[in-house]
Amino acid sequence: MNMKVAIIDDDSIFQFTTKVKFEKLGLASEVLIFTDGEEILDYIKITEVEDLPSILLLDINMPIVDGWDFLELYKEVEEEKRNRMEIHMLSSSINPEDVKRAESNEFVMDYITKPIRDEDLTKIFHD
Amino acid sequence: MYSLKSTKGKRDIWQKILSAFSKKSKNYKRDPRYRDIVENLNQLVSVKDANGVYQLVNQAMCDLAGLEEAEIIGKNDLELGLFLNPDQIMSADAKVFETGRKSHIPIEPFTDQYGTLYWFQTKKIPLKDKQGKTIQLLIISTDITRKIEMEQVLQKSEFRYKSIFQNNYSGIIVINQSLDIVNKNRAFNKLVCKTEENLVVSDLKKYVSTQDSKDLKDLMAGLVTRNYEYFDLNLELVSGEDIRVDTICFVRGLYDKSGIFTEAVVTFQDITTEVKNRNALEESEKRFRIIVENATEALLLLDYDTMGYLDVNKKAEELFGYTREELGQLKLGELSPLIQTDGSSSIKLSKEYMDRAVGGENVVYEWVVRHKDNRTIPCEVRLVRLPYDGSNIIRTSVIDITERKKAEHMINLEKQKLENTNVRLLSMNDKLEVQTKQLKEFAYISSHNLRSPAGNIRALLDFYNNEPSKENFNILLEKLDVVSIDLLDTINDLADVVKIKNETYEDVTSINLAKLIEEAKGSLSQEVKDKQAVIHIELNGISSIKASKTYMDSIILNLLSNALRYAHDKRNPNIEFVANQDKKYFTLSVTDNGLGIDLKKHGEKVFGLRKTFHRNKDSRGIGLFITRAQVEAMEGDISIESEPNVGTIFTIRLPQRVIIK
Repeated sequence: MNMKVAIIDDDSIFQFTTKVKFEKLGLASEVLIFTDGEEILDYIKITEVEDLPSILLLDINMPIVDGWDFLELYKEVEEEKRNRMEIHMLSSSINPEDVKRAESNEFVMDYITKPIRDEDLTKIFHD
Repeated sequence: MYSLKSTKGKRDIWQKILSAFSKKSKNYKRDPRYRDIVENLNQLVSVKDANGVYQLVNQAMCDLAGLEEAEIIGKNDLELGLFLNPDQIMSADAKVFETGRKSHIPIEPFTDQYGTLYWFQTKKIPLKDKQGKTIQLLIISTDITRKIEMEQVLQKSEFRYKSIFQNNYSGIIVINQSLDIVNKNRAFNKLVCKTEENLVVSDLKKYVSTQDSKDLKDLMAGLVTRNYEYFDLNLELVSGEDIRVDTICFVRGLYDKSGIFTEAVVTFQDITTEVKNRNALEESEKRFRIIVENATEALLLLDYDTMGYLDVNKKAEELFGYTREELGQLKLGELSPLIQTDGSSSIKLSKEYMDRAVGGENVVYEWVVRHKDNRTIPCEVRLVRLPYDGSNIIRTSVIDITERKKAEHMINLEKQKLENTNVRLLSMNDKLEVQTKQLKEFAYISSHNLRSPAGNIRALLDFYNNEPSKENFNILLEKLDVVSIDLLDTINDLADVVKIKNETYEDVTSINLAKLIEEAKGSLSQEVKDKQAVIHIELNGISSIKASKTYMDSIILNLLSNALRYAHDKRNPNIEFVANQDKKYFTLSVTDNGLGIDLKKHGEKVFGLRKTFHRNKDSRGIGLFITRAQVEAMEGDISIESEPNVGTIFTIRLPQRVIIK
């Protein structure tokens, strides 16, 4: 399995448990951790297209640049790079406004409510 | 011509003429003296025989007939055709012959050759022979045409006057000194008897009152002595039960040639209708006067030309406190204060209204009037121009509307109250909506913030159960420790928020601002010292405010700790507290020179729960959320101005009127 995954979440426990899940399920070749939107954006800027992760797990609630801010700024990213990445939103928020907002965003594939289950991850990779 | 001066002289001459005629005509002819006399007489003199044939005529007769003596002699009247009625004349002549007695024909017409009508008075005298037999007629005619004409004129004139007298609509009587009616006309009959028939008693005293007849007598005495020749007086003619006639009578004295009073002519003019009309008018005026006097509104008649008051009613006296006489002395504007409630000049404005009224407009307006004792009264004024010939009279009607104004004021107050209530309800509704939204948000936030740690615990347990090694167990414990702290923090934060949401703050007291800020500084003294912060306080004389002590404590502490926490790493914190107030609001701003924040990016989330914008370890994103909740609980608001790397200003604004919920 040669697939790079990026987790963008400030919650260290979530980072840890999700990373372990990927390793256990053998779904990803590499799991990158970012604690907010700004960090991942900086990474995308300096990284070649072929080295970019193909899946982004994006949390909403983060300091500095949160999930929504990231999606705004993501518009500025070159189309070539954007085409390489799939964004899945992850949040413990069950606020229907958040769900609606995520689903209506052109870059978001789907919205997954935390806690994340094994099936959710399997589904991401198989689709 | 002979002048016949006396009756005796006349008789003598006639005697001679007669004797001359009675003699034989030759004697007559022989005596030329008589002939001359007869020829030159003005009378027509002729002698006829028994057959009516003229034997002799004088010059006057010839002149009148326009014929020579010879043309007349030997012809009778029928043949001559001088008279209109020759048959009558000849038969009258025959009668004298027959009876032998002279006859007198008082009036006899005669037409001359030009058709002019003459009137004669004729005497026919029989001339007898010695045996006493009538042999001839001596006819003497006197021209009385002028006399007849005069008589006719006189008759005509008298008839005319009589007709005027009788047919005059005015009653006319002639009375003597003792008021006996000597003569009267039909109109007078009608006046006192209601009929033209002559039922009038010939004593004027019977038709007038005792007083009137006394007055009349006194006045008549003046006529008699000719102190004056006429007078007039009002006289009520009374007759019977139901006849009462008001008259003006005009009395003129009549005097004879020697100036002695004979009688007086009295002309009556029936003025009953006029008196009735006048009385009716007076009645009507009286009625209107009563209506006007008792009107509930003050009425004033204003003469537009002099701007003075002509007449006022009782209510006007009451309203303005002036008597009728005093009001009569006042001019327009003197019953108003100098200026009206809207600040316009009373005199100027009321003149404008009067101009409009004189132009025919019915003007209605509200007006403040001034009572004599200087108090002002709100009134409603109505102006109407009255149709008076030649002058501009304006009827001014004034109603005191104090009560109405009061009622209006009350209604307005009630309305204002209702509006205020409505505004309050609306604002409460707005607040409730905001609160509902906040509660909803809070519910999502709570669930989100509690779900995260719960989810983490689940994920950690999954991780351990999947590979329950000793090493993993130690990791589990270590991670659970972090989660439990996070969970506890979250629960505490939520509890804080719930506390504000539910709290009814009742500790509104007078708070010493300077002391409060000092206390906050004291609580954060370690940070202030570590970061070498400088804190300025500028309270602009506001020593204390009325607010919730608990909230103000928390708000100031939070803002100060915020300013210290997000200080710039390149400079020492410089923090400034500035207080201000006006009538409506108290404001307190906290300015720092810290990191600042990009409001374009984060503006809407600054005051959100669990929103952090810096990578500080101790930023939990709870302070500003609570601060806002507390400010809003006191019906205030909080705003932020900021620029990254320059600094931030937080301003809280509290209404001066703090409502205790």
